[in-house]
Amino acid sequence: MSAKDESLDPKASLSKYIEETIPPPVKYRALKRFYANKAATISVVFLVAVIIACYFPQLITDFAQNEQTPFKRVRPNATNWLGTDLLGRDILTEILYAGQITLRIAIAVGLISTFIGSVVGAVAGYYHKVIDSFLMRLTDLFLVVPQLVILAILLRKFGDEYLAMVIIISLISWMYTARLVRSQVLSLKSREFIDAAKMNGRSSMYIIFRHLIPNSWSVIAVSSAFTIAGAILLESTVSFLGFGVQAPLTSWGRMLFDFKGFAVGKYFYLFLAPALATFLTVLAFNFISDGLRDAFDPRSEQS
Amino acid sequence: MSEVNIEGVNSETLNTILQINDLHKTFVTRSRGRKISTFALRGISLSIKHGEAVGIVGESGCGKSTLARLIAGLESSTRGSMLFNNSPMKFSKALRKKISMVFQDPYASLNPRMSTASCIREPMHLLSDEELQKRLQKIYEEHPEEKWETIPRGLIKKFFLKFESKRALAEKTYASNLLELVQLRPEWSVRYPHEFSGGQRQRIGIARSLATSPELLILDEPVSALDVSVQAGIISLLGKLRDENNLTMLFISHDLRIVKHLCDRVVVMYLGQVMEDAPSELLFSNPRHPYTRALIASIPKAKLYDDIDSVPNLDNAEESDDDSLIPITVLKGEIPSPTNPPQGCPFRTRCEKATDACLQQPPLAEMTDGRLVACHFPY
Amino acid sequence: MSETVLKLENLFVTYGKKKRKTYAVQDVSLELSKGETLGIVGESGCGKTTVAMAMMGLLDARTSVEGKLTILDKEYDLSKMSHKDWRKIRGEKIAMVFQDSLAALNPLKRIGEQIAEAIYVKDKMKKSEARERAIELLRLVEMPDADRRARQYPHECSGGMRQRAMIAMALANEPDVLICDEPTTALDVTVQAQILDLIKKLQVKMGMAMILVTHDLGVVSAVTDRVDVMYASKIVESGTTEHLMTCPSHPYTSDLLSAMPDINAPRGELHAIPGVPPTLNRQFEWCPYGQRCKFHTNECDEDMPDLVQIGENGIALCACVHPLLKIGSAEAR
Repeated sequence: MSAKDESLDPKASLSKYIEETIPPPVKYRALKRFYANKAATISVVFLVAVIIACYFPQLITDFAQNEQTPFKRVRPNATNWLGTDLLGRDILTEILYAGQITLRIAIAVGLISTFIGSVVGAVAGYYHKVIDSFLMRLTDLFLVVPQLVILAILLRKFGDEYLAMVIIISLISWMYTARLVRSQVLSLKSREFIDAAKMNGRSSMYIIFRHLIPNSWSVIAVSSAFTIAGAILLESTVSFLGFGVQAPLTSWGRMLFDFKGFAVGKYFYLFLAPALATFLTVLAFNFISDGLRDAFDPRSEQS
Repeated sequence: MSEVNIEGVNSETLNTILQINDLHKTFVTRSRGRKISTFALRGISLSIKHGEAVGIVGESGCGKSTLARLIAGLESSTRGSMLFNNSPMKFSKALRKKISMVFQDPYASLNPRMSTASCIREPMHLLSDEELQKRLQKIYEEHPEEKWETIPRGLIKKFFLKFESKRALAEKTYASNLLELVQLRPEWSVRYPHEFSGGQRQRIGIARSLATSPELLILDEPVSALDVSVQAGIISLLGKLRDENNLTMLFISHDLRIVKHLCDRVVVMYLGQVMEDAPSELLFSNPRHPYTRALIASIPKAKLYDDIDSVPNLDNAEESDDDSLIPITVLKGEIPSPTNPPQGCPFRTRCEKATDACLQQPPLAEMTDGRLVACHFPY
Repeated sequence: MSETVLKLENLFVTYGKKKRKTYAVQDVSLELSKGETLGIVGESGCGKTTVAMAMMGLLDARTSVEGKLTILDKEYDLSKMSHKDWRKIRGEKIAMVFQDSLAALNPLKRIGEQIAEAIYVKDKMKKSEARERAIELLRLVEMPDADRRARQYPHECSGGMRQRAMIAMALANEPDVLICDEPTTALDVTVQAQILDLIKKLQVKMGMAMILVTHDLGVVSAVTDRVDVMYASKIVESGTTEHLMTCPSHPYTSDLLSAMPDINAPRGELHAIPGVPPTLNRQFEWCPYGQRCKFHTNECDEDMPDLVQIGENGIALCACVHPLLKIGSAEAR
């Protein structure tokens, strides 16, 4: 038997399209990977629930903030799910309103410091020697400064309202992201698509913002989750120590400050409530950052 | 050999697209406090005419990749000059439009976060609006319906189409059309590189390099990372593209077999210098530099019989003698490190014909048959 | 004639579980005689490296491996081998040289130490004696300046030297069978010639049988006596090297040869093989090359063709419904 005609004729021109086809696109692969990480998925659900609860507290509780009831120092019961404090305020309500402040600060800090850190890291990683050294020494400078001391000093000086707190905490949170982004960029720099962009005459700005940073999303997402968690803890700490959020505003850290005398003993639930809220939220962010890391890493699909 | 018409310009130079004179490139790094210089290129001289396909071959450390990067404008030379169309190479937008490069690793040469159309569009900012329109006109004459907008896509993406500028749409249409040039379907331009196989990705890379219709195309080991059967497809494609577009090609490879197939002329490099520069047929039929000879002889070859019954039986085969267990010439020694090249002829340390005269650097001299050889004792 | 040193029967290797299985190797059998070099050729993904790893027990524990391996008349059931069993045969009966010497050598240990380790772990020789033996081995693999090199770290040596060190490690316990997995793919062509020459010399000197896994048909034609061609997890052709290189019977082998530019052949067209190899996510009982084959007929899709003998001389086997009569011919049986 003889062969089909075309392919043996050496003079035959190349076919219009190659015969290989590509498989149809798999949608939402990253989302599926994230979903595969159970802890992360539960954390997202938890976090969404917390955010809704904190911003719409009327859905859960009937009390208003700072509303004092005659029932003082009551243990957790049917009316006051978490009990009341010595002024008769419902703890659950306080937690929810306090959560607004804590979360607002934390997320704002997350966004700002991630942005600063990414740009610093990308620029340091992309440009050579001098700029890199300078930026890295700057980063080191910020890292070695004792965080609480600096926070204390700056907060006292610039006041402790929302904007000041956000900016000051951001100033000491960006370094982690910067380092991660820098190392990611360093490893990306040697990849050929960067060479291709340079060869095509693209400017450094274009390369940083269109090639390097988009390929660093995985690192940025993961570190931003960590940064937010860290910001929550920082805010709690400063407020607990007294120079963070001040009355009449309240945050979880502030509540810890208010109830610090009650950590042990009869009214331990007063202290436990904000502590648990902080702990669970920070944990949730940590799990989410794990999930994000899985989502961006194609290899985690292999069983 | 050629008449001089105007001062410095003759028919030879008019036809030369790339002229490299005594090019040097040294990389300096610091290791444990000591300065280490890597002499990647040590005096390369080369001239390429319009429409030629020149193959640059050599083993590791010879500097061929560095040469490619220098010509493409990714590095700057330490010494020596490069002329493009007889003017010194200054990498402005105008020059970058005319020179393009295809990279080795198909998995790393495309940004995984950018769609194929975006990848191919990358060099198009070098084209002016008129040039882009001119190219699109040609396409619309043949296929009036092939616009970027007609490629099927999801609802969300359709929505975002409204926000694209005219220029972006034009570029993306042109990009999908370039895919056809490399035998890929234009509707695949919305997909992402990781959905394609290695060979297909390399085709996308080729499409990208053709976006500005360059005069000179540099290919840095474009098929080394691919399977043999896929290699053949890409090589055939390159041959066809070269013929149709009158491209000048600089094909860098360590695989002499492919170079023989595709290139008119071959330049053999060793440790940062040119050893031999000859037309392809001459080089393979009669290599004159000892290194070229050794290189070709080291390649394992297959014998040829006509049909199944004339193949000798295993049982009746003679015992092979211990001297040449394998039908390949074995060259002694190792390639010296580019940080410490030997004085004089770099091949001196491994050459059978080496004498004390080889301590003097042999010049790249022209032989009677028109080729260039850098050896005191060529074959 | 010569005794059979190694026999592999009905090897099946499957990765993954339930729906996402990959049948990497399906029913592969091969035989090796004393002093013989067998080449296993195929493109990436055909399963050749998996076969080599299966014979050394280097596959992941979660991979399912079935088959019978017989070395010098001792049988080993691959599905039941434990770590201990493998440790007994590795090094002494069967050893492997890997492709990427930089990855296969411990970057933190000196070369001499690594080779010595391969010896004193088995022989319970004194460490100092093992180190002496290591230097001897380095001289055996023609490592220039063996004493000095033995005290160097892998990254201080060039690719060719590292590959020699790996060969020395493999030969440390005088195995009966040596498996080389793409030993020269990462090397320059002149160094490749040196290493191939070395391997061949050592094989003759030490009387080993050798399996060479590669994708480079040129290497195969230079070094091997017999060749098995693999495609999509199965062996499609088997025969003497000369037969295969010059007058292949299976259309895939023929297509592969015509896709490879040969240094001696005149400058003609390269024929790419259209299409891609099939994905190995199910067991199939038909010719895997059918969809891409020029001679495809319906018969090819019915049943997996067996490896049958063709031609009057030699031991050529071909698994094809329409094996070729002449080279690159339009005619098949």
